[in-house]
Amino acid sequence: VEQTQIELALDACYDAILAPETWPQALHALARALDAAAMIFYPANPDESSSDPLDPNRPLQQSPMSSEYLPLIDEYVRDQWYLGHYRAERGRPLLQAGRSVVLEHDLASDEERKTLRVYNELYLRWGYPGFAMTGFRVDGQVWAVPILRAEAQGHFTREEAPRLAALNPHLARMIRLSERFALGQASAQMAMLDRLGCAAVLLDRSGHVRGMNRQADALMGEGIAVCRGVLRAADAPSDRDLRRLLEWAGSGPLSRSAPPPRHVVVQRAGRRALVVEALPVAGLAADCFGQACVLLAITDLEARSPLPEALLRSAFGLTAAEARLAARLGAGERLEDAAGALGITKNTARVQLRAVFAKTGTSRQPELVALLARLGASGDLHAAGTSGGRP
Amino acid sequence: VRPDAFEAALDACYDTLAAPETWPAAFEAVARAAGAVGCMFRRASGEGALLEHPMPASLQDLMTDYVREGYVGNDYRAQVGWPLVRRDLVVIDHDIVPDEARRTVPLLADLHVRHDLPWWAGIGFVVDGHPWVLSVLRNGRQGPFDRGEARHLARLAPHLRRIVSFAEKLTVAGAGASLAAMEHLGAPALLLDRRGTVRLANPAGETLLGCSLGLAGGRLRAAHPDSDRRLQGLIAAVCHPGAARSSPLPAPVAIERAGQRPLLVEAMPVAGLVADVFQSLAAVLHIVDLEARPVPPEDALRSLFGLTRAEARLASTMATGASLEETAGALCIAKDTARVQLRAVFAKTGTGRQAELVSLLGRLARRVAHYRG
Repeated sequence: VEQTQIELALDACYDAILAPETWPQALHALARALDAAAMIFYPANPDESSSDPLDPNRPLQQSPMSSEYLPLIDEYVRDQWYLGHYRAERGRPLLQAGRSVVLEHDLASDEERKTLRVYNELYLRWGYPGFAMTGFRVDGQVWAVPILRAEAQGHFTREEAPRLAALNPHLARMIRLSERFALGQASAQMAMLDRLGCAAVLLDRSGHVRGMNRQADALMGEGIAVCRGVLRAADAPSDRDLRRLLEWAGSGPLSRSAPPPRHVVVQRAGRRALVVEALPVAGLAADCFGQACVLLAITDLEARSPLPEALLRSAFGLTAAEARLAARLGAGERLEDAAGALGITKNTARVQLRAVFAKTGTSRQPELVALLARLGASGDLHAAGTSGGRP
Repeated sequence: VRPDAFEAALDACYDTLAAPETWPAAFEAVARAAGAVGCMFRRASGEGALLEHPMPASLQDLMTDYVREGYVGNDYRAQVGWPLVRRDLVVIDHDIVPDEARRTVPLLADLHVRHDLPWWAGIGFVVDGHPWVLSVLRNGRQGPFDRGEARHLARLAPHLRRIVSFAEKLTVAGAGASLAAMEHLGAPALLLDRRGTVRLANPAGETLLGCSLGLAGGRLRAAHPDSDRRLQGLIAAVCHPGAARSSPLPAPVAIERAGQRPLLVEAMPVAGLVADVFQSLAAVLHIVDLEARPVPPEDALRSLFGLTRAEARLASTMATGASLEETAGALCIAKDTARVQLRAVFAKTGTGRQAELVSLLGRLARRVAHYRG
C-alpha cells in the first residue's frame, strides 16, 4: 500500500514538471507517502566567495516545496536561519562526498540537540523534530531534499534510508526534466516565430544569449550583434535601452513579476529601426529550478520581400500576372515602379490592378496594402516552404 | 531475464524524456535485461506510421518487411494477443498461439522465422485511455518466454506508462508554446492531433470559431459545403502518416463567409516545431481573417516614431486603408487638419505615400498589436 502511495505521488510530481503550480500538492502527497510532513528541493551549492550560503540565482522561496514547508521557509530566509545551520554545515559535506541519505542522528547527538538553537527555536517551534535529507548530483551540482517529520511521526530510522535513497533517481530526473521542459518550450516558440518570419533570441538567467532562430541570425551584424554572449546595439542610445531590457531579463524570477520595460527601438544607420520586445514569460514555463529564460522578439521595420505569388493566387484566385503585380503593390511599391520592375506598360498594370481590386474586394491601393498585410505571416511561411528552408 | 540489468534499462528509458533520440539505445538496454534481441512500442490501436516510430537497429529489417509484406492489418499476435494485453499485464506466445498453429500462421511460420525472431512477449500499459504494447522479441537460441519471466517484465509496465504519458504531455506542451508564440503575433491557431481532432486553440483562434468555421465532435468544420470539402481535404492531407516528409506545404484553403471576406486556413506540420517522438500530433492550423485590419496601438506609434497623440490616431486609422476623407470624418477633424497631420506622420515615419505608410504599419501591427506595456 505504502509503495503504491509513493508511486502515485511520484506521478503527481512528474506532472508538476509540466504544471509547476501543482508542486506544493504533489510534494505534500510524496511527504505523506513517506509518513513525513514536509519536503523541499534545496539547491546545495553555496557560493564559496560569499558568507551567505544561499544561491542568489536560485531563490529558495521559488524552489518546489510541499505546501506545509512554505511558511517555515519564509521565516528561514527572512531571519537568516540558514547561517551557521548544523544540518547544512554537517550534512552538506556528507552529500558532497557521495552519501545519498543523511539522517538527523548522523548530524547531532541526542545530548547536543537539546542545546542546538536552530533545532529548538526553529524546527521544534514549528513542530518538526524529525529530519532526513536525500542528496544527489544534477550536472555536477549537488541538490538536497530535506524531509521533515512532525511530533507524531517521530524520527527517521536507519532502516528507512534505502526507501528514501530509492527516490533520488526520480528527484534528479525531475530537475533535469524541468530544465529540459523550459528549454523545449522556448525552442518551440522560437521555431514557430521563425516560421512566421519573426526573429527571436533566447536569453538565459544571466541575460546571456542562449540561442536564436534563423530569422534572428540573419539580422545579426545589421546594427545589432552578440558580443561576448551579450546582445548589443551599434547605436549608443539604443544600446543603453537594450541593456535596460536585458537587466530586466536577468533580474531573476522574483523581480520578474514586474512588467518588462516597453519595447526597445534599435536605430540603424541608413535603414529602418528594429523593435525588440520581451515575450510574456507566462508562455514560457517554469523557472522553478532557477533556469529562467526569456525570449526576445525582434521586428525589422525595413521592407521585406514581396509576398509569394502562389499564396496570392490561391487566396484570391488571381492570375499569375495579377499576383506578380499585387505582390509588389502589397509591399508598398508605386504602380509605375512595379510596372517598370515587371517590364509591363503602365496601362497593362492599370488593367491588371483593376482585376486585382475586383477579386480582392478593394478599390484603392492603400486598402489593398492593408488587406495584403494580413498575409504577411503566411508569406514568410510559404516563402520558407518553397525555398526548402523548412527544418 | 536479468533482474540486475532492469534498473539500468529503466534509467535508460527515463533518460529518453530528456533526449528522445536515445530511444533505440533504451530499447537495446531493455532487450539486454529481458534476454531478448530487441523491443519496440506499438499503439495497440494499430495507428500511426509504424516505421517512423523509434525502433532499435536490431528490429529495423523485420519491421520493414512487416510493413512491406502487408502484416500491419494481418498480424496474428495483434489480433489475438493485444485484446488480452491489459494494463500492467504481460502476454507471451504460449498464452495465445497453440504450437500447431505456429506452422499455419504466415507471420510466425514465415516472417519471424526468416528473421530468426520467433518468440514474443507483449508488455501492456494504458496511456490516457489508449492501450500500448512494448513488443519484446527473442531469437531461436534465446527461446520462448515463460510465465516467471513475464512476471519480471510486468514490473516495467508502470514505468513505461509514466514515460510515454510524460513524453506525450511534453509534446502537447511544446505545441502549446508554439500556439502562444502565434498568439503574440496575433495569429489565430489550432492544434490538430493525428486523428484530425482539434487539441488546442489559442485565444485568437477561439475567437474565430463561430458559425462559418466551428468545431463538431472535436473536428474543425466549415458551414459552406465547398469550403468544408476543401478543409477536410487539407486536414486529411496533413494528418496522413508521413505527411511531414512531403516537401511543399499544402496550399491554404479559403473558407467562404456570407457577406464577409473569407478566412484562409493553412496547415504547418508539427515535425520540426516540437519533438513528437510518438507522433501524437499532426499539424498547427494557422487561420487568417481577411476581414481583420489589425493596427499597431497608438502608444507604440508614439514611442516608436515620436508621433503626437493626434498624429498617432490619424496614422492608426489610415493603417486600415481608409482614405484621408474617411479618416478625417471618422476622427471629426477638418480635412486640412488631417492633411497637415499626415504630412507630419510621413516625415516622422520616413514614408511618402499612404500605401507605403500602410505597408510599414502592417509590418508593425503583426508584431506589437498585442503588446500593451
